[in-house]
Amino acid sequence: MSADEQPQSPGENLALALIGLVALILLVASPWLVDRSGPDPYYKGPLIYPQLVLAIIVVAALRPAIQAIRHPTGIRGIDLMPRRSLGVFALMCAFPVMIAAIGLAPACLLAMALGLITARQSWQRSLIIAIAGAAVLWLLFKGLLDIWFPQPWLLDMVRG
Amino acid sequence: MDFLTAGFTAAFAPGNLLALIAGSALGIIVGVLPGLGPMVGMVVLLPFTFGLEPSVALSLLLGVFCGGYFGGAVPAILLRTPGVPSSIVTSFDGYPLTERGEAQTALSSALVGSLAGGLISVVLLMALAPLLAGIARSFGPPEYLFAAILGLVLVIVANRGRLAQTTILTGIGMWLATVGIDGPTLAPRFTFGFWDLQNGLDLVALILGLFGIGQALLLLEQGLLKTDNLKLAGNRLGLDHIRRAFGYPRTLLRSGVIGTFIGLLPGTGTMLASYLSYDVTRRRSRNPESFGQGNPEGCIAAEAANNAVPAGAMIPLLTLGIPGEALSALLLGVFTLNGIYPGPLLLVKEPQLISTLYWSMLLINLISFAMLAVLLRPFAMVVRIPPAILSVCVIVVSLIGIYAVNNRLFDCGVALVAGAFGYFLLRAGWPVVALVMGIVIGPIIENRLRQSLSMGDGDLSHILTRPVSLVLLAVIVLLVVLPPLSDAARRKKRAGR
Repeated sequence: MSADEQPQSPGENLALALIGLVALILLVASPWLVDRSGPDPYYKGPLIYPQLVLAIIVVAALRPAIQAIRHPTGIRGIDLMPRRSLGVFALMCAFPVMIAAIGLAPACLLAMALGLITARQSWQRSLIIAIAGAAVLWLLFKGLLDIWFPQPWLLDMVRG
Repeated sequence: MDFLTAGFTAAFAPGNLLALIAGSALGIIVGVLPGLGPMVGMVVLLPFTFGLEPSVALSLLLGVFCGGYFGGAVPAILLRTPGVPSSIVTSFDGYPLTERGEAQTALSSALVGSLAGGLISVVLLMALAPLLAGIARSFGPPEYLFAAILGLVLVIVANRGRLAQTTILTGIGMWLATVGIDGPTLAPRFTFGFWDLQNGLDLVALILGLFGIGQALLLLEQGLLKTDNLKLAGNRLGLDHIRRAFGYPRTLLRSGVIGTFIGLLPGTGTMLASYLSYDVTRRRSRNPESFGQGNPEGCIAAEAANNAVPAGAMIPLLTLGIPGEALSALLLGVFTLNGIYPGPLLLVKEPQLISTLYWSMLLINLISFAMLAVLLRPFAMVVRIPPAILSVCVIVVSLIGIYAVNNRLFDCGVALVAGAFGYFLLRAGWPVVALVMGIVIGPIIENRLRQSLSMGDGDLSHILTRPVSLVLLAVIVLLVVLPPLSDAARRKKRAGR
């Protein structure tokens, strides 16, 4: 470790070791994950560069992996997202599905209103911001930029 | 000289001027808001640039890029909460001045510093870019390969405090860029049988997710904005204060030059520029002990340096097509989306566009300064927006924006996964910039590596006969070898004491 290098926590070492392991698996499996049916020689082919890159990751992860094996103590449960961030994130994961199901404006309205309520804003404020936000976004993306959005399948189903 | 005149006329065209004003205003707003910053502003604005002329689109985004650094100083001085990370150095002297009731002095110093740094760096960009482009014109694939590798090595060396993380994140970025159909051979790579992955992972979706969504989630969790102690006497900056801030010409010039040259180096960023310039100014001062206690020269040094970085970072981007840091990586994406490919020939092929860009950067600095000087209080009040509202709005706009790039909902999924990853990286303090640089520089390295190998029929030894390659290779080796050697020498010296 260089003088300026910050020591890694056991959790960080474990995370880096896991990334290294995934890179190793990809490196070993790369001949099957990359189509090499072309006539090109190896040095012109599509496999040489990904293999080099994956090898670099594996080599860089070696020391953290050794440290994680040597000093496994101190590894606590991984502190995931706090509930509020997780709730908003989950809602936002549903947002693209909502766009496909009910269309842009209703999806924006729903995602923003529920997102703001999850982020502990009052429902009145959330609703006002969501209505204004959905209107602005609809005007910008549909009205001004004329972006194509998928036909809402749920509304189509309801309408028959 | 004709292209300079043409660029000047284009920069003053109403559409361009409007884009500059709008971009600068938005840049100041996202700069003032701690936790957002110009990166988030640029990625959110990106979809709105598709229908615009390339010069107008670039002016709009450059406005956000430069305006963000202007705005970042305001909360650093008034709240000790930096709007952009590099403004933390500004708060060393800015906040003590505010506590003493001299917020006007601190803000004037910071804004005059930003203006001078911005202008000096644009002049240096105008002078240095054609010189470097001239040199770059003699570059072949091996030279480009080593220039790109040098870019990544500099990112890793700049973050050597987190060597393993930086190297691994750079590697992940380089690997992510290989997913999809390989251009030269049309072979699918790492698609795992998914059709959607055949087009690869969209650069904008990845960057927007990592920075926009990741940062918004972090902002939601940490609620960074502290607005209780916002004090500001007066709506605008006083002329007397501004005049007094111009009384440090040496500091302004030196810091602007330091910022520009730090901007030239990939991955080093504004933080290093601010700190280095602050430290040099403190050492050269007759009153070094007054720094940190509320010396306006400290604000000038820090802001002049960090505001000089954007123009400095444009030099390798325009001449080599290699971005200096994450923000210019995004600009590279905008260039290519508009069918413009940065490199030494860009200055020959698109002289008017480049000239417009130079003039636009000059104007952005003047506009941002004027806006903040006149509308200081309204901009400072932006920090009163609750972070929860900001976060939700940023994520929703980002997701619609990313859909609008390719009309693919799949890209929203990519952005969300990248956002979750970015959130964890930002929270852990890992260098996200390394990942972005890997994604952007990776394809350049791959293409040039294969071309270089083809030139020698699979043998790379021919590069040793090329002087520029050899010089670049020597620099890379020195950069890799020297830091551990100097660390070892330092340890030995310490042990000997």
